[in-house]
Amino acid sequence: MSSSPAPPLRTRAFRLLLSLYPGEFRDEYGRELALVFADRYRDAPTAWQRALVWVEAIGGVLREAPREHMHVMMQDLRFAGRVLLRTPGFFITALLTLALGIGATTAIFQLIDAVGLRQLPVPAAHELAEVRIVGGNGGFGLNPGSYGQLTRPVWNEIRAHQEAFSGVFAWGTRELRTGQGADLRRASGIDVSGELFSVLGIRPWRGRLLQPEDTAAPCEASRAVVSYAFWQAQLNGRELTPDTRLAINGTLHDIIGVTPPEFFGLAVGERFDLALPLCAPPSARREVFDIAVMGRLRPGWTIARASAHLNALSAGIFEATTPTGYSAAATERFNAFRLAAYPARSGVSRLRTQFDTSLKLLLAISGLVLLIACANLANLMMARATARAREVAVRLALGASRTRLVRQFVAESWVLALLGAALGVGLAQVLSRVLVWGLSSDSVVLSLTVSWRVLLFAAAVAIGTCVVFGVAPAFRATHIEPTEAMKTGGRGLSAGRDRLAVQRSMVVMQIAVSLVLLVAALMFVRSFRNLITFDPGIRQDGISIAYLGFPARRSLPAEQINDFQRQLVAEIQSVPGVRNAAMTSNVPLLGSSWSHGINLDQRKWWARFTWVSPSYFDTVGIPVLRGRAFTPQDTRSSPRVAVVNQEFVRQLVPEGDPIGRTFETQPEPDYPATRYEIVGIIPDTKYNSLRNDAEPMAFAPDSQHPRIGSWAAIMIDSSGDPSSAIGAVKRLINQRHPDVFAEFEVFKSRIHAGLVRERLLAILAGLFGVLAAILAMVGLYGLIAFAVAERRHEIGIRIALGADAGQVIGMMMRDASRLLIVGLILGIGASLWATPTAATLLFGLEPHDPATLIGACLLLTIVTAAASFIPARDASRLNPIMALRQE
Amino acid sequence: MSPRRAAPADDSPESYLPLPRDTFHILVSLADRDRHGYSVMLDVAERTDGALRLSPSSLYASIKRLLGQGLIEELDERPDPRNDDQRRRYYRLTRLGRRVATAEALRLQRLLSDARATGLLPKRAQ
Repeated sequence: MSSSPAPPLRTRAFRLLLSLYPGEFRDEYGRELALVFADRYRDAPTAWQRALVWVEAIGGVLREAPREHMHVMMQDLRFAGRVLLRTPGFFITALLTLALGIGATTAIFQLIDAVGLRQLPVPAAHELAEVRIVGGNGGFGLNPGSYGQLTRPVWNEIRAHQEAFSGVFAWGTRELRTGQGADLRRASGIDVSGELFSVLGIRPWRGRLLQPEDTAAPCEASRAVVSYAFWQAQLNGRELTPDTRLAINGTLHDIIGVTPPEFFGLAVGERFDLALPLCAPPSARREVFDIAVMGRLRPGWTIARASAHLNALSAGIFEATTPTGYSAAATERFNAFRLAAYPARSGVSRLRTQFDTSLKLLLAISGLVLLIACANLANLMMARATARAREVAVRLALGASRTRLVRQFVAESWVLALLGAALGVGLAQVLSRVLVWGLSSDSVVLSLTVSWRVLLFAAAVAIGTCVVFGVAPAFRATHIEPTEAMKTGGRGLSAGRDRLAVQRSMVVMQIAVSLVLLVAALMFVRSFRNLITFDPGIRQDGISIAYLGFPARRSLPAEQINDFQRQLVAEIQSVPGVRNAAMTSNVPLLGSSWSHGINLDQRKWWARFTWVSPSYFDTVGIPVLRGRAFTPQDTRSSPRVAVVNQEFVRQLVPEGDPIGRTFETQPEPDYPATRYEIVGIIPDTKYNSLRNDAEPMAFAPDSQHPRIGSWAAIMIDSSGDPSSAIGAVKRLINQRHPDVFAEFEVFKSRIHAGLVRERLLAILAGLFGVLAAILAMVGLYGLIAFAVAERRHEIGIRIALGADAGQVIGMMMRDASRLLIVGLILGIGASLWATPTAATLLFGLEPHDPATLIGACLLLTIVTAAASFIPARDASRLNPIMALRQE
Repeated sequence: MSPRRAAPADDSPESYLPLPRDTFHILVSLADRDRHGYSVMLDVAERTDGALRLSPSSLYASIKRLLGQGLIEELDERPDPRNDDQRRRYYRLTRLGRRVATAEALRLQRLLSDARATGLLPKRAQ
């Protein structure tokens, strides 16, 4: 061939095409293929047939080349499988390490997928958009429910004027009670506008779903749709008839239909039981932001265009729905709200908001643990490669191509990575469910399915791990001189420190990364500990909360309702085991809040407002520092009085004696401007969350509440176990007031349930941190043990020349300590760089907390010292005669 | 393509059956004389009146497999007397290859007589 003239262009082009084949096949049959192609080309009589020859050639190569590759790959994989099975100990260790690493990472990704990435199970979910106020409403008006963004009058305006959506709907969440008397049960409800089901494209499973007629005026909320799960569980899956009725909040409703099983509502992680018609009469309250509005974008409309359109409509919409009874400034703030559209393909989710950052952080953490595990595997693979140096040398000498050898080594990693990933995905199913179970303070409903994203993720992780732990050892293993390897009797590749450089740098990396993980672990554990041991200034032990409702007395005058409330408090106080009890308009530390704008002289500020019965401060253990607490003499007709906290004084009365000063609340609907006299001062206590800083707080007597409702939240202080007090109170209420429905909670459990995110982070970060330290320990142990084995000869000579055990141990430990120091320095740098991302998740400590950093370094130093001492001690016990004889 | 029968447990010709279409045609083509790749292609095309046109790629994929299975063997390179002076690799049926091809032919024959017996094909005097 070499003497023949340059081949024609088409032959060269065809040879280029042949490069798609694996090298072996090309070497074997490339020339033949080119010759046959040339023959056919020459024998084709017309240009058309010659073109056909090309088409056939290209088609053939495109069809056959992948098969050949597959064939070679299968061969490599089978070979790799056989090689791996020869060392089952290594195989199982490596497989389990990978399965655990990939499983943990995938489990967390699966949660992220379920909470945030997956689309709503409705047709064309990508067309959905939510209408919200840009930047939120800043706490304006009342904000009940988890997903309230807009008021009902605003919804009416949007529906009437918008052009961006082919259909819009509104919805809100509400807690409901079904059944009557002793059968009263909690149910989660959604109020939906009649358009919701048709715009989402939800078809009824049974009966019919709510339609626009159901929510048109006069909008009698006497019909309801149930979810499939509720239908199965509470209605036993019975066919619906016109007589299928259910008491909801005390009123009988016709159950007209059932939604399909896959429809859980619009809130990911939650599940609705009942859907009721959302009524939005023109008289609807203008300051209650209790609904969310979504729509399907018209064809051709983008989020940006819809936002521009909504922005243009905003001024008109908000001016038409301005609530009355507010100050001019507040009204101006309302009128300045602007609407925009936001993608809503994944629905909304409280879980997402709450866990997004922490889950991503945990994903990063578990990824790092996997990285450390991979480094261990890589070191193991290198050790194996050393052991197989002779085999490699023989095969190279016999003419095997280096590429083929590399591929076979990589194939072993492939087998491990693929099997590890498969096991890992299986393991992730268990782990992610355990995680969700750990998350669910209340009813978290997540469908954890293995979506294509999860599989893709696991595959990407597997490929990544394979690259990390497989490729470098494969290249190292095959880059040896055959003669050299044969000469050293297969004991090793060119021995010495240089050859261990890769292993050493990997151990350094492991130490650095595990330091970062240990720092994270310590931070989150300490942060969680800070939270649960934190004193919010309110008694938590022994406190339980009773929520009592008496809708039958709704229409009584406020004074009579208040009398009844106080009667209930007095009755509860008399229950044996109950030390004290008090009513409050807002239970602290559980998330809800109530604020009013305040004017004090020229100062305009705001304060958290709570109306409480006289025994409140005693019940929850808040001392009155100055002045007085409330008394039964503070009545509806007596002057308005308030007890404020120190932060209130700092913000509003920085000078002079605050006792006796007055302030006025800014007017709001149902809450007219009212002048209060400060009669007492209490210390700063936490208001609605342990995490928040001190806020200005004002308390007023329950009797002076402008809007007394037919319910009461009563804090009960009991001497013994709160649950036994709850039992006694429950019996009392049932006996004396069968028309009052009651629900109870143990205060401390509820507060701790609210710390689920912190607990999750502390537990998982802690586990991962420990795992990382163990893996780094194993890695270092392996390296030092290996180095000892490599240096047997040298150590033997040293001992023979009189080195004592201490000197040998010192020599090996010095080596380890150098790695440790470099690893720690890198790790400290990485920690300082990485920890600020977790700042918002921490409580009571700074991200650059020196104690945490020093603690992690110490821990790691102890761990690595232990890991290197054992092989170093073994080295010192080496019998020099044996060691030298083996050479 | 995974070589399903890369190394049959028993070396009986039946264990290779049924043969893929292309494989059988290649074996038939090599039954009367040794051929190089292009010659096999031309022969197959001629015998099937152009109905089966093997592409060079699939031909050599089959050849590789047949070599691996020991059904054909490679001869020394020699020039194709009909064409040019380029040296070609020639292939020949092995004993096993011949037995396998025969077994496949018999299998097809039995199938054909079954089809005749059930009236699927018109009966024909032997």
